[in-house]
Amino acid sequence: MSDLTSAQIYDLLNRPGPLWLACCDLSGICLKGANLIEADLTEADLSGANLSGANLSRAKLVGANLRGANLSGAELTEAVLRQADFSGANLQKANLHASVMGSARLKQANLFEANLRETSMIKTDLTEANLSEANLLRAVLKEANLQNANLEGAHLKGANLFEANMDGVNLTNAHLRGAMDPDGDLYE
Amino acid sequence: MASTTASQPKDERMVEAGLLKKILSRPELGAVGGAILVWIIFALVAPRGFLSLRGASSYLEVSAQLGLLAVGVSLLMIGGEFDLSIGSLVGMAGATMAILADVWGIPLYLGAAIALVINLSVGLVNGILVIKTKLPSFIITLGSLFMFRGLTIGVTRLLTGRTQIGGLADAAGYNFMKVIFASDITLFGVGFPVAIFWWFGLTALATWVLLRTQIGNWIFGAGGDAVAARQVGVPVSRLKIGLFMTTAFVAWLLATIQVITFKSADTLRGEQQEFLAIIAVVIGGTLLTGGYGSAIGAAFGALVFGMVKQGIVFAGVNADWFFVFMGAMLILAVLFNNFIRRKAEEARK
Amino acid sequence: MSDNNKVPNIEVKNISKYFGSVIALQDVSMSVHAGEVMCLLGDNGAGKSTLIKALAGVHQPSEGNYLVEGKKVLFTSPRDALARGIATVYQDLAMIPLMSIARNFFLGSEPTLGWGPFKRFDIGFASRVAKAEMAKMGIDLRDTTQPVGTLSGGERQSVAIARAVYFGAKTLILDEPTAALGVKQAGTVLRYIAQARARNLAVIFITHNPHHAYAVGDRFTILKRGRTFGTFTKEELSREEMVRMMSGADELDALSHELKEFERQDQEQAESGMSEIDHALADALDDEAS
Repeated sequence: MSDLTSAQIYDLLNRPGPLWLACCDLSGICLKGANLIEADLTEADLSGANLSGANLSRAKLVGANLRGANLSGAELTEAVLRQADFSGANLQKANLHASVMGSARLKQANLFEANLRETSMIKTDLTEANLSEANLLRAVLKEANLQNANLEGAHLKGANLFEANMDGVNLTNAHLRGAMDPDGDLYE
Repeated sequence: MASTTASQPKDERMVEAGLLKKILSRPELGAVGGAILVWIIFALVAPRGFLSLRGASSYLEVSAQLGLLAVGVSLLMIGGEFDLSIGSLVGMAGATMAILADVWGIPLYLGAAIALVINLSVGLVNGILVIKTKLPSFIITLGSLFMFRGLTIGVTRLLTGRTQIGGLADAAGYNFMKVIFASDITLFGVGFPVAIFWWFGLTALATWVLLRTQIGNWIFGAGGDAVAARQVGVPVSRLKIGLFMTTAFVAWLLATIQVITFKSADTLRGEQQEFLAIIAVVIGGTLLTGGYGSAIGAAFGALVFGMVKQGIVFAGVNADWFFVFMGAMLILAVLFNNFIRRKAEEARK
Repeated sequence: MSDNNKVPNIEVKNISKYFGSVIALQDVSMSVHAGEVMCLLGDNGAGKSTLIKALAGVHQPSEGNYLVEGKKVLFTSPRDALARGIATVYQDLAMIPLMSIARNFFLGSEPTLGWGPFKRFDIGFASRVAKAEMAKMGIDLRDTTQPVGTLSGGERQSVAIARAVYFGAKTLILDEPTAALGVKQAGTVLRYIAQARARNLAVIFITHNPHHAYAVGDRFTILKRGRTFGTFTKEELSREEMVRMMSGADELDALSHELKEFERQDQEQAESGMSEIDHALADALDDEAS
């Protein structure tokens, strides 16, 4: 459980200026719809937290723990999510446009219809993740691990899958034309 | 290679060699050498005529007439273009002022002004056509050559019934024009036609423009590589159009001088002068491809021309041999210039 | 995808360029910051030349945004780009071989003395400044009146770069400056690129040579068939991966010897710590220091 009372959280959220809660234990917290723009949540523990609809644009979540968190419909535009752990998290319809997710863990995460345009996912772990109908236009997935991931109906035009691990990936109806395959050639 | 850490003694030795190299690499070298050579030959072969002051005045006058054209042509060729219509423009300008005086009694100075406007317009059109059509100027001005010669002959015949218009000494404004364009300046008891001084003056002006002004740098740049020049902001199109108007101007100047000197106009004046002007310019060290050359060199080229033309007369040789000589001189001059330049380049490296 | 906080000197966002039905560029994004060398890598036909021309103002993107210091721009001619401090040095250099170094240096921007019809080209100033600027780049010119044609390829490139820097370029776009040069001369040019960076310019270095790119680059953008496929740092992209990404497996047979050479060099580098081009660069820097 979080080590902040609801009153303290309310107070913090209503202060002017970005929130600084690095390394805080906020597990299980309910921050539904909260304004966390540019918040510094580096290495914070937000496991199981409810952040659905929250606005985390340009927030720093480097190394943060978001295991099993609910981020459905959340705004994560240009957020820095390096090495964050989203295993099993719900990111349905979340907006991750231009966010940086290098080396993040998204094992078994749900990214159904998520907006992952122009994200940087170098060496990201997406094993068994659900990326169906996700928008991956021009996303960089170099050396990403997509083993057994579900990319059904995903849009990958201009995406870079160089050296990605595609074992067992479900590519039914995926739009791959113009993307780069793991060998460096372009899909037709 | 230029990038060394040179020690003192090395640099001092370099200075002397450098001066020689500088002289060798000047474009005018061939023409000056050629002029000296020709002068010596005719001084030996026809000393009585050639070495007198009067002799000098006569060959300088001939040189001046080609030299005036050569000044304009040298600027244009350094800028990378050709004007083959310049001879026809001489004929046209002369005919224009003569017709205006003869048929409508318009004073010669007014007629000359009108002829100037017409010539400059033709130059403008030549330039615009070259720029817009992107055809070689050689082709465009070759077309102009024929068109304007034909136009001159046709219109003159139409308006006057003949192809030569004489008796202009009686025309209005003649005396005023004579002072400016056809008088003699007496030096050491001999009369030197003012055309010679127009020639010297324009050559000096052209040289100053080429070597000491921004526009001169642009001319070298546009001739050397028009694309590169445009990339750094040189207004190449406007520059070239201006150069075509310059050749049209010198054609007008020569025409005016000739009309006043000979007191007549002839529709065939200027025939073949365009080729002789190009020869003089090339002898003077200008490259056919542009980007390199000299107005002074062109002046020496014209000087060679004048000395040979008059020298042949003084030496009693048949005038037919003149063209043989000019053709051979052209080829020798280009070979010599290339040889000298290559030597100068190698020495630098 | 950079999390650099500074506003980039120039940035293109999703620009496309069509020539009739031909798609030369599609959704190309790239940014360069002051004091950074961004290498634009791509094989022939990748669209590098179209992208350079768009950046240089030769033509306008059909779609997308071009931002200079954060503000949207639309260049109608190269002079517009130049006016905003974006200087492009093409492979053919825009140098006139028959003209002297000093005259070339100031062509189009000649320094003058006096007014009206007596305005003179200040050749003395031109010679002094050309000599001084080249000295700053480490070339000692004894004679700035010598024709540019007598300089070596590497020296000509450095005159072109020195010229751009002198005339206040804030961003330098270099179109394959090392393409036709040997290792030593390429090392010299790479040194000038490093010096331009040290003078806080943003440099876009277009090349298809991964050795050269790695020697001076800070970030690397891969262009292929008119699209960009990401911008990477050295940690995120090795030279070998660079080659494979540029050409793809299908063309690797032709390059297999090149890749073996990389293996050999990487091994040598692992042992000695420096590659051949790093040696050349180091030599060039030593020459300057001595």
